[in-house]
Amino acid sequence: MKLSPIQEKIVETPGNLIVRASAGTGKTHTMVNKIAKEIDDNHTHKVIAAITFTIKAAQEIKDRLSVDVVQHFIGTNNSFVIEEVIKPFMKDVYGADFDLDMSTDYSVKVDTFQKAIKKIRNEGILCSYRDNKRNFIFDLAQEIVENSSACRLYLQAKYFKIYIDEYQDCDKSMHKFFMYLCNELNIETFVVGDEKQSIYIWRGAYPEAFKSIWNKPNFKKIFMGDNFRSCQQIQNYSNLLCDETRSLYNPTENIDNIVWLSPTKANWATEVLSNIVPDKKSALLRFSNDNARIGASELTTNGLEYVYIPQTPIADITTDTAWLYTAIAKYLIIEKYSAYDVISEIPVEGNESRKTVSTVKRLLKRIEETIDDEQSFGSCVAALAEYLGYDTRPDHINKLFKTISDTSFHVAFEADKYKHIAITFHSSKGLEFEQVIVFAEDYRLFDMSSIYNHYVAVTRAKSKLIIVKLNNYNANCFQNNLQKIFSESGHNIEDIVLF
Amino acid sequence: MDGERTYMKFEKVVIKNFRNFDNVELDLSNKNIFFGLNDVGKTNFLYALRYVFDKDIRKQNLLDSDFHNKQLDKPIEIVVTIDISDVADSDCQKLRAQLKGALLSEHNKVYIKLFAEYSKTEMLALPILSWGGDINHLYEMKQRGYLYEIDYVFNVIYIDSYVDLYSLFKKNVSQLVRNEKDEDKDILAKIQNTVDDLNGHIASLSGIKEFEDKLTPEYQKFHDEGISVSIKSEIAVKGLYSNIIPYIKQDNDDNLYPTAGEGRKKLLAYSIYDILSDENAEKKINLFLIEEPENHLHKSMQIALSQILFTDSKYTYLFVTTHSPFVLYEMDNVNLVRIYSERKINSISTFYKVPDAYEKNRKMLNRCLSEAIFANKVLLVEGPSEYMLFSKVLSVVHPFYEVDGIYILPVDGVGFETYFSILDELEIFNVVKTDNDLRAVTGKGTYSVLGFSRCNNYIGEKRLPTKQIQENSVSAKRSLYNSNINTLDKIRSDFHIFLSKVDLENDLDEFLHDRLSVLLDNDNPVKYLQDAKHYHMVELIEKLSDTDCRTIYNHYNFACLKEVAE
Repeated sequence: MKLSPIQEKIVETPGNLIVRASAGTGKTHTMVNKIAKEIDDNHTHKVIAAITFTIKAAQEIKDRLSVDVVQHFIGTNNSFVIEEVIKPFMKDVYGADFDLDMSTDYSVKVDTFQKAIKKIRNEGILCSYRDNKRNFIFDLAQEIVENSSACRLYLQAKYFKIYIDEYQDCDKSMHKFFMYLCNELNIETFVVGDEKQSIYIWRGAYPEAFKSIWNKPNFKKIFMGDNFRSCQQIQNYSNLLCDETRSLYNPTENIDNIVWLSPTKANWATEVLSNIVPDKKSALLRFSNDNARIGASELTTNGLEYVYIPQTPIADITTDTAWLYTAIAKYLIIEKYSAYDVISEIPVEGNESRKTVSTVKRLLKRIEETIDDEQSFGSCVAALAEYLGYDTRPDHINKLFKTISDTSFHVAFEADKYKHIAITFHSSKGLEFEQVIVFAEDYRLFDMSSIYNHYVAVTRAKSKLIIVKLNNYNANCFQNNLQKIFSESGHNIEDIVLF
Repeated sequence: MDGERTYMKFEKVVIKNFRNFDNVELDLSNKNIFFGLNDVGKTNFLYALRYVFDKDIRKQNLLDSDFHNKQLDKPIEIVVTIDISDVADSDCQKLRAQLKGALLSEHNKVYIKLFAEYSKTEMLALPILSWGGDINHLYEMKQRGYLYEIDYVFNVIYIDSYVDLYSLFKKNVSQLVRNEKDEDKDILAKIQNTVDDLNGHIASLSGIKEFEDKLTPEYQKFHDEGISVSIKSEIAVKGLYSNIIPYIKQDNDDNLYPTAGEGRKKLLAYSIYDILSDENAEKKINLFLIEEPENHLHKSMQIALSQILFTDSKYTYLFVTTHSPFVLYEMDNVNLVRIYSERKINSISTFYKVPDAYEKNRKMLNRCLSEAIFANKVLLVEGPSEYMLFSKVLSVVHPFYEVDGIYILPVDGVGFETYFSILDELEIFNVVKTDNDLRAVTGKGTYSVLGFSRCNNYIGEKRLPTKQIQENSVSAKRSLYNSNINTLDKIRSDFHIFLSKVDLENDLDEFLHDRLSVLLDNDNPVKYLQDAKHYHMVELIEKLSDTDCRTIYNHYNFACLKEVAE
């Protein structure tokens, strides 16, 4: 794919750079091109770190980079500080007691920093704070980097540049840490994000951080506004939601890409379906899992099959072993997913070269043979995990067993297969659909957090957006606030949306 | 960081139970010269380093013959110490970037250790590498295939003494020659067309056709498999790079000459290694391990190579074995490592820096020193007259003295101390023969006893009196000597320092006056010899009989000869 002029400029701009990238502007594609170019231009021993919020996003960057990335760090923000700061240098600050094997389990919650430190010393567990707006892992990393000169020299000796994706999802501790690397250690930093897509404010994400970098004198700034995904009308709708994109409004002749429906609770599904083109992909995006599930069944009853993509039981496992549960589930559920795919998902850290394919195959085969007996299934899963050097827990194995034995969860592993799906908009991040159905009542639009959620949901749509407004309090709030927002730039809802 | 930069610095290596070495510990520097007689283990020293740093050697594992005296119950251990306290140095940073948490804030050195235990079932020893800032708490290196973490830091360039230019070139041609620009595409297409044409022409030659027609049925007699044999240019089959080799073109001459001559090939090979090391220089630390670079090179080429090795910044980390003093002519800031055998193999080293005074004229100083460090015993003398006479005497009394490693070094203007301090540190036996000089003290009419003070200075204690004397004459010197003869004899036996009673000519004259007068046809042989030193000494040497030489050899005045020869 060729780069647009603005993407080209981002790739070519050296030094600290912040990019504000609206939805659908090709941000990952641009970042991958920039990383590839800068790795190629670098002639020193130093490497890069590409830091993402999800393992999936890290994997995507790895897959798309055609250069050899073995020596570079590409991974999630937590794994970056755990592998590069905490595990190697905690002993330098806290003493030899901390020269031990550590594993993460964020389901273990504590109240104070001191208690979390004790958890590491006594059990080797990196846990999290009960208050989900605070971030123990990054607070600890900050402590270490500020007090260990060996750690600072290591990071400076190793990295020539750090790339951070989805910066709007950083919380205060992450922001402080990354700015320390940039300002105190003088490691060049590239930041990309979009505060409009900040949907994790409820768990501590701090979009102000992104805005504060935008005002820093030592960063160059570039705005990417050209949405290559959504049609002009949907772009207009989403751009009018936020201050900084309002100027991008570009009037269209037709306004039939966005349909506003005001049906009753009883007939909404028929009304929606009369606006849906059945052979193009569509998604019903809801705030809660329950509503997504109910919505799917009502739409199906009324003539077009919608598949509800549930949250799987294993999705909330947060230990180091989480990838293995997912890989085993995929191996058992997806026909074409083989032992080789399982092996390719083994995280890069450690001595994977010693694992033989034949042993992994044999252990997977045994798991497959025991899927009807929870007890032997559990011991077979534990055996594979042990061979690969990972810990398992009985409650996690139970979650895996539930995930594979209840077929209603299986669709979650092959969501791409289905033409029409129903999911929460939180899980829709990074996805796109020809047609998108949203409910007005899910967004009251009375604060930025709610506006950002709505922005993310509507920008999933390529050519059609259907807004369902029932008659209830939240939906009325939505309508009033939307009118208020649009009138700030002198528009009415009717100018942009077809009633 | 303030103050003087230190850069990354090799500090020490300890080798236990490996090949010739039972247990040796050796100080290192960034440039190291290993020398010593044949078969004492110079090459094995380089092998010890290669097992640590060179993945291609390490992956061969260690065999029972690599264990010292086949002591298989003890492990092989090789530990290299490197100072990395200079945090601004990029080579130190390359190490830090891989060492990660193995290096804590208080550490300034890194220890790299190879450990190998023999496995009787596998009949070999697998090397285990570990490293870190605390020798008592090293971390095992992670492995990826046969690459260890250290292999991302160091790049070993091992240059054998018999380097093969053509295979070196072919092996690396794709790295050395890159035709990747857009305009190359057209040219490569043209070359392909030309090759096709060439083969068309070859195929249309009557002789070729005839040969092919004969060959095919011949082949089918052996094996009938429906093929035909055709004759093509090699370039069409193996590709463009199979067919290019370096040629030499002289200025003002359009003809090409093959790079015949081993010397020329060797220098070209060095140039290729240069380019290959540049490719890596910023990503990795290049270690040059060079075996006897003097082979095939004429003296002047060896001196030219010396210049490159010791002054080009590319060879920052250099480990060379050599038998050639010429390779050492330009040495400076170098660690001299002498390996010798004394019941068991041992080694000793000293750091040699050209003294500031000789910075501009280091070749003069280095020339003799380079020769001397290859010797077992060195006789240090004042100048060329002594050198000529003593060579003559020794060659008569002891015809193979040079083969036995005896070297006579005239110190000339340099002075004794610069030489013998280095020889002492390398534990090379040395004998000093110096003159009993006096020096006039300005304005006082007295003379200071320069020869005595020099002796005191060399032995580091005041054994000889240093009171000034009233007279400067041959007899005054003799009487000064005779009145201290017991102390001087003790200095001879304790320190191998031999003071002349007067000087070379007078000491000879003392017991050979009549014979000298006859040989030189002169009543005053001392005066005659001293008038035209070089010239007349040559004349004397030509005339000295074997008996004369034995007389000199056995006389007290020239006991230094016996000391060094027996």
